[in-house]
Amino acid sequence: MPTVTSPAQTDALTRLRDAFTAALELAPDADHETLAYRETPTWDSVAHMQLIVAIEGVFDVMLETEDVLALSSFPEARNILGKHGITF
Amino acid sequence: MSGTSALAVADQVLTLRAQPVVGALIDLVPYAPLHHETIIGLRNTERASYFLHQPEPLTVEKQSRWFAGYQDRRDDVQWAITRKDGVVVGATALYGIADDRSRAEKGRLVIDEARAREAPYTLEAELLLLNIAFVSLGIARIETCVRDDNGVMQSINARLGFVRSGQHDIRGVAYFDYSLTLNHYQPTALQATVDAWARRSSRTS
Repeated sequence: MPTVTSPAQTDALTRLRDAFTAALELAPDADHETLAYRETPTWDSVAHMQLIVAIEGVFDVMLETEDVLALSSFPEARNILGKHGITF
Repeated sequence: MSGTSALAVADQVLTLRAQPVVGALIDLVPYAPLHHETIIGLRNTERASYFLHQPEPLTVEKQSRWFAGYQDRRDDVQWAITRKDGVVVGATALYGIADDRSRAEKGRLVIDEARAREAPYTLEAELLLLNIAFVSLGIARIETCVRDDNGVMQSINARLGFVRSGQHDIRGVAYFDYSLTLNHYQPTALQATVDAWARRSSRTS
């Protein structure tokens, strides 16, 4: 059975992708699903701080320190935001 | 170089050693023997020993000898990078400060890796140090060197505006040289990141 996503879910995914693209200075066609902290060349400790600020701004959430430390991939970002009621 | 300018730099160094530099997330606290144990622990981690190319573990005795020499110098300021709750998360330094203010070197940076991802402590420490160098001391050029495979510090230096100026070997290991002048200094975007973290910290405290 195909996965059906709502317009709100699509919008959230787009906004998350845009936050990553801006903070990590990614190419428009970057494969977000494979992004990983310190493996993606532009995702260093400074970019990580900018990414957290960007995600919190886009989704109007406040991440706990444990989530800041755990956010090490794009899928993990989705999981963490899921705890804040944001669905993808 | 005039005797007056040399005296002024020495005086400013002593002043910097006497009072903390207050930041939003961390303070740069003048280094003192009470910091020995923590900083030795950070310096002796595998990662720090590798990037600082430290040939053997640091000891309290060695650090005490270094501190005695440091107290006699007037071209060198070392700070403990200290969180607002007093926890020391690292150390940094500005040294080789020329009497004529033509140059100084930033280095001896060590950071608690376990805490480095909590907040942009390293970034703010770098910004505070460069502000002291350019604004308070009026240094014309800041130099630094980074081990050739230390991508994290190379990235931070590039974001700050440092340009690579050469390469040299330290005991057989390649280190890249970088320099920064005020006209190439790019603090705005990085300071905005620190400011944003300061705002989020104030909301959580």
